Amino acid sequence: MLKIIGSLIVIFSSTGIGLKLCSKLYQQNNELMSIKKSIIYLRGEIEYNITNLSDALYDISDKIAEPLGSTYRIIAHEIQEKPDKTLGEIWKQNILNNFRPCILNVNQIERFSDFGKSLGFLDKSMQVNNINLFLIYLDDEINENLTKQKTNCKLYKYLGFMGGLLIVLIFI
Amino acid sequence: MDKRESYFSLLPHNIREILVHCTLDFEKLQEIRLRCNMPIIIEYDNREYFLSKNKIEDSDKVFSTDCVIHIHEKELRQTIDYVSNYSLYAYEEQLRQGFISVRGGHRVGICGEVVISDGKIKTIKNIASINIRAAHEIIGCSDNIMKYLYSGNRTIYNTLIVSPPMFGKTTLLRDIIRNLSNGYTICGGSRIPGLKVGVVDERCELSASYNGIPQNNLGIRSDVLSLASKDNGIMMLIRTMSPEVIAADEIGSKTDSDAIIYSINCGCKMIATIHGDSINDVLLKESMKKLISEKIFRRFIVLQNSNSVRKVQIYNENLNNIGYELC
Repeated sequence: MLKIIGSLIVIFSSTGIGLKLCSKLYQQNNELMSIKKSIIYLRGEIEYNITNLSDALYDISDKIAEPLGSTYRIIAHEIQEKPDKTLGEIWKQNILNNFRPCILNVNQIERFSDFGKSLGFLDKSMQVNNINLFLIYLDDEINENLTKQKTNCKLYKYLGFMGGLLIVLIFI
Repeated sequence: MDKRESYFSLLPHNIREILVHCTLDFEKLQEIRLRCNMPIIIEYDNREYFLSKNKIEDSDKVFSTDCVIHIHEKELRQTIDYVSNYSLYAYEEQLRQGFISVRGGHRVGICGEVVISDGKIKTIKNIASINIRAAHEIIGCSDNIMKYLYSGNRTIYNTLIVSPPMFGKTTLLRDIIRNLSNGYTICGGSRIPGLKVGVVDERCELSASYNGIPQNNLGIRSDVLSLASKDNGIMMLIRTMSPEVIAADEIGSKTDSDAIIYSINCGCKMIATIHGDSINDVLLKESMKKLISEKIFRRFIVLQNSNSVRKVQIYNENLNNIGYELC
């Protein structure tokens, strides 16, 4: 009886590890989709409403999920405080502080935190072009993730289950 | 954020701290001029000052500008960031006209390299000098003048304010709009009800609108169209806001006078300002001859400035002096 319970625990745990790795890919994709949605809203605010950045970020922050929403709100507030920093520095510091514990990989966080350097100066069409360039990058990342999800998710699930089974067979 | 705070928040931190330390009377501060790699110049109480480490110094008493504070490129760029809220793209339309209107009603004049596209000014790049003009309303400066404008039966005469630059015609027009909009009491105690005033604020000097919201007090019945040309603005207001009075600053072109005739034919009264030393000066302008000779304008307010006291002469449609006031 105890052996059966123990075996079940081992199999469930290892399957769970496989599912966790798989869900990390889903979460990463959801996070990227959320960033993409927020950047599309930002493009709309800049292109059609010609809103200044702090007002645009305040408006967008209500339409997107956390932690991105609160990050944008903090950036908008800091812009209005007029600190002794450039916009690129304000953006980068807040993205790194709020996204550090999250599930995006290092390259994605770095790219997102550098996006702020391209905002705020030059004319409206340059802003829109820079945003479109960043959206292309996000699309590439999302597509790559989707491909990885298709191939790796099944692998993680089966490896998890089979690994657990192997451990049970070895020790029984 | 009050006007003083909103003004000083436009400046780089180091300069802001020095100015706050100087404890200037904000009401006397007119403008601060920042030119790349040049001394900071402050217009204060109708005199020019330089900024040194802990005080302002009369420019007439400074023999060498080496010891006063200069502004550098990085600080100038930082000022532009603060003025535009890190969003210079959002002020393209204003930049084309060479200024940005900020919270608090202050106007920031900008100079640099003009970018031309299709024969029109597209924007200004490589900004090298900035003029931050402090917004000061003088509430009540038109109180003594209102009685000359009222024509009875809930309306006013078409009025033209004539003055050279920097004599306060915009300040006076702003206060007249406020009085017309809120209603006012003339001598004898008669209360004149408020009128619907449409304001065509082409350069945002009257309302100093920020995000479309007037930062200056133009009264409770005023509708402001910012950044619109006078001819288009007048037509739009007449079609959509049914104004009883239309106000515009600095008229002078043929299109302006055509728009004024159109608005008067639509039943609106008009109040406007124009550059000039006197009414004869205005008569020399081809576009204004018809408006004056056909007595379309029936009141003229001519501003004179003597030792910081503004004197106002009021004339009727026959160009006879009917009043003299101080404001």
